[in-house]
Amino acid sequence: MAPIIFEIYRYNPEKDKEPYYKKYAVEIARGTTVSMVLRKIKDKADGSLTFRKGCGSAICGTCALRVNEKAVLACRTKIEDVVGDLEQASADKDVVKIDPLDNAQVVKDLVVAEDVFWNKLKQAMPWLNAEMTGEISELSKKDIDAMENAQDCIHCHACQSGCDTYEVDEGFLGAEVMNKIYRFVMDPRDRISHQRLQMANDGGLWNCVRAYSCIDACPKDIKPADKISKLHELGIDAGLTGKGARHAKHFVHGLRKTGKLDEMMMPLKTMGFGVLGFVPDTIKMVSKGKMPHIFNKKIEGQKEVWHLVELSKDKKEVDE
Amino acid sequence: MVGRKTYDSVIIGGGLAGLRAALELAGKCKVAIVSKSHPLRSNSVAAQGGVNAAMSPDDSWQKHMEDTVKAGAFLNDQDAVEVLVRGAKDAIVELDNLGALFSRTKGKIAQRKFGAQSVPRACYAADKTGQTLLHTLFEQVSKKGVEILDDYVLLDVIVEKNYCKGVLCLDVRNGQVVALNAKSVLIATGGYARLYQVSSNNHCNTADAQGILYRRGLPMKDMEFVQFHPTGLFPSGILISETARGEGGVLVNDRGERFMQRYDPRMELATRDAISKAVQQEIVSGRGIKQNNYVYLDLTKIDSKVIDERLPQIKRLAKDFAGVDVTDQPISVRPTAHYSMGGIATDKKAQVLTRDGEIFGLYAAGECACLSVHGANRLGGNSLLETLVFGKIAGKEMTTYNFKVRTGMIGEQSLKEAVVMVDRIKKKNGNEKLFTIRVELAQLMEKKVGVFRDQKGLYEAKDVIKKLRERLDHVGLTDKGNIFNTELVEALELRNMIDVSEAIVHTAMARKETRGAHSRSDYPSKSNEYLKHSFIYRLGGQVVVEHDDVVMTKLKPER
Repeated sequence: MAPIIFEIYRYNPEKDKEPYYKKYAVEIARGTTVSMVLRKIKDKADGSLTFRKGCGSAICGTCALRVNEKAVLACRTKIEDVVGDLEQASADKDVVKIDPLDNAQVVKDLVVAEDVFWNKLKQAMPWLNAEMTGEISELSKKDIDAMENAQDCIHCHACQSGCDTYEVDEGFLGAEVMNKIYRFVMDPRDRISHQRLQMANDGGLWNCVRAYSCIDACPKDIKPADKISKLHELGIDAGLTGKGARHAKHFVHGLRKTGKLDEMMMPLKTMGFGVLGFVPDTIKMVSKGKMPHIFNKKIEGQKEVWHLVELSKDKKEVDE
Repeated sequence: MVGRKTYDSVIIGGGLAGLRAALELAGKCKVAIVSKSHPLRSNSVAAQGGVNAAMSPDDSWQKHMEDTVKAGAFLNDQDAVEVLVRGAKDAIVELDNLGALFSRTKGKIAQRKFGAQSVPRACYAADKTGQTLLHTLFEQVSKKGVEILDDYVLLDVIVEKNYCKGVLCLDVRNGQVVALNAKSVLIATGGYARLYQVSSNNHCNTADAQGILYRRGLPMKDMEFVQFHPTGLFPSGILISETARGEGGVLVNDRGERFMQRYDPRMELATRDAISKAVQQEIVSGRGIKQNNYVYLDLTKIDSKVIDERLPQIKRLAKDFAGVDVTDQPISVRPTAHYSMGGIATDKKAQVLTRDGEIFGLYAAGECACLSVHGANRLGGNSLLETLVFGKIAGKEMTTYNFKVRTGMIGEQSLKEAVVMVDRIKKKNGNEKLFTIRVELAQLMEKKVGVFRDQKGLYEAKDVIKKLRERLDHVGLTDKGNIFNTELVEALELRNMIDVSEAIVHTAMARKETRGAHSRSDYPSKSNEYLKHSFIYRLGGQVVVEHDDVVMTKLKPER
């Protein structure tokens, strides 16, 4: 079987004005992982190829990178899973593209700077805030299960690589940090849940657009976006307000009253006086014929719509 | 290309022992943790099974001690063991209070049975105990604002007139040599099992500190005792925890036979050395699966709910790295180099020892140290315990010591020498390749200094290692840059690996008996003559091996 072609992102700040891609042809067998490919290239072909090495067993979180644009752990990603049929891929001269994580500053080749991630993490006070009682904590299996494996996070940063919000919003703490906040909010021993929820709120919690690339990327099946949704609910329950919370509340309110969104009142209720900032856009909209209904009437299927909403909830409805 | 920083204490290694010591020092002393990559990436994170503590009513620290010393073939220093086992319960309570999510049963911390232990005493967090402990300690260390110097590689430890002055490191991000002045230094860099071809260890565990201190003439203790964990995934060597056997996993050969019945009445829960030898023997005798060099670890009879709850990581590892669904297929396993009982000779206060005289301000804790608490073979669950107990002791001792001394300054000369050394490696041209030397070393250790050793093999190994060291001098690097030069780091690592291999081979040659993890086919029994520790050090260009007494306080071996 012919070797498989890898196109690898290279960038040496000491030599290169700009990053470029270099192609390598590597012999692959069943079970060969991306880490093994990088190792082979560095050992036999190009000693300058730079990447992080670690445990090799998907628990230390150091080797995350992108393979064909998707953030994965290099040590656990088998080439046959990337290309499908190895024989076919080599015959077709398929190319496997390897890049460093996105949304991060490249230090060299496939190594990114992690400072931004660690600094954001620190902002979340990612440590238990509880008394040292000197006795084993009162904690049940149910308490631990309620954290829904948030504690499994290995800080590989893969979740942030594909996150659209993380890309554009510097104030967004990110999926990794939100997950950590969730872990501590759910720990019954922690004394500062409210503060943590506030911090999440202030840290762009409601800027999550539910693109779910974090769920796709997480090698530990943590589903960070679901944790973010849960933090939304917990925040509302805790009486925290903010644009996001108000938006969600008004959403539900509209569905209960009329069965549809009250698009006229939404911006006002969500943003208060901030809505004045939208006047130029609103004028543009109206001039193009996009005018929301001023008077909202109950639609015919309102009862059915509300029934669907009730079915999707697993606790009693949010009151205003 | 030099820098200088000053601290009260510098901790080399951000794993469990290093972090626990940092927690003790933080707030009282200015401390920095030096990590080759980042603390969260430390080998500690890969520990699966559990951490031992005598906590239940039918257990006692005395029983724990007895199990430990028996498993260690009486080579453990019993005064140190007593400190270890007596500190266990407090260590568990402390980690729990700090946030570690131990698995619970009926509201209490659950404890599971591990090999060769009389009572179930391994506290665990599913099968991710190391990750839980490491992350918890890192969280608490972050809370205290301890400075982390990540991507810093240890180059040298500076001792002047018996006082440790600090360390020299390579800042990998910019290629600078940095002097870290300190009153006290803790070495907490982990073990040397990565020297072997098949190993469960992180690829960064290249025994840098042991290599550096050995070259500086400090004695290494019990280096010949390398623990081979019997169940490493084939072919990667990734650990499949003893836990799997604790929950009912069995080992079978090509004939479908539970072969342990021929070797040890404790079956799959015997000591690790006994099982590794049995597995290796089966393989060597042609009873490996389809005559390959692995046997089967069969978990299919374990309730799938138990697997999901207590062995989820193992299930995932088997699927991801071996394509096996453990609920209906057996896993291919073979011995994997896993832990180093040997290491930097220290006392119960974590102070590093010399052959003669004293060194002040240099400490070691965790796997890199040899007190010895584990003797000739370590019990599962005692390594995590060691990091917590002796990490704390080291931190306390260093705090006390720091208040007695001034910070020294590392001399310009030492700094210059390090810069010259690094430059020389970078600029050298040569035909040898790092990878060839590294692979040859790994294969050599696997074949001649593995589970079974003999005079002939060890002698050959000694010669090959000499040649590999010479060849290393003729390696020309492709990457001659300053920024993140991992090829340079690997050249530095390889030098340490070669020197530590020398220490293992010489001490293995000198121990003409079989005890614990050290197995000589030409000397298959234990000998009272060798109921002693080995010490190896370099003196005037020669390698010296000595043997010295074991501290036996309460327990004596039969006969």
